[in-house]
Amino acid sequence: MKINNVNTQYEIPGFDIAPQAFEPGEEDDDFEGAPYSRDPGLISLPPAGGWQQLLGLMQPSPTPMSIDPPTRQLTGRSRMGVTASYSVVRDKEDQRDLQSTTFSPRVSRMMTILASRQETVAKIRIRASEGGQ
Amino acid sequence: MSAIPVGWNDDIAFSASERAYLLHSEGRYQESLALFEGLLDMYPDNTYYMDATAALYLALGRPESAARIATELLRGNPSHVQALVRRSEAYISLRMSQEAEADIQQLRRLGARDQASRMAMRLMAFHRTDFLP
Repeated sequence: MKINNVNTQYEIPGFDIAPQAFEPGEEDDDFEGAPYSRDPGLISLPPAGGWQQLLGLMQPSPTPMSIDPPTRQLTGRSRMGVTASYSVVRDKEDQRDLQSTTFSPRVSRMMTILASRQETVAKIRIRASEGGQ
Repeated sequence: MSAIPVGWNDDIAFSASERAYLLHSEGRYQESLALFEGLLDMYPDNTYYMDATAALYLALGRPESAARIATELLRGNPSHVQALVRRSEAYISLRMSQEAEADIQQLRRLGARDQASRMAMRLMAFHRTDFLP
């Protein structure tokens, strides 16, 4: 005699998964005792920027207006031979030098913006050092 | 090529590029453009500055200038994907659908399928709004 099927019945202590007999009129009762009637109770949501960030899903897709950050390989490659260190504008004399040199209007504008930025940074540093004493 | 300030070097060019990039990411497009234009005057063949300038022209609603500089960039680098994306966007803004379509085809030929699909959708959306009463 050959046996094809083996039925096994497991019994988990304190956990009844046997189907309950259906009794009409009782379907609206509360299901407090029913298995899985309780909220599984997630302890916490996955941290923001977890796997989504890992998969790059949180990165905004590039648009025709977006640009990549500069790298040293990408910038300043086509001009050779200028290696001296340079500080944009340090004092009044430098400023006069800057004004007397003939740059293109666009280069002048860039230099003005950079100089103004450097001036702001210098002021902040002075204020910070005064405050620290 | 424009005259350059005494002592200018590649490190300063890189710092200026970083500043320009930061201004762009803060949405301060005019200031960012002023820096990139100055850098481009000093490094006229630099593809990064050309590309960034084209992006900023688009962001500032100057599609003609964006198309011009992207064309200049593509002359020396015909397979520059970002330049094709920016130029097709400029053409769409200028209602030059045929030219935009040609750039999208070129993107497909270069295997830039994502960019081609995105720009094709932009072109389709433009057609749809164009025919609305």
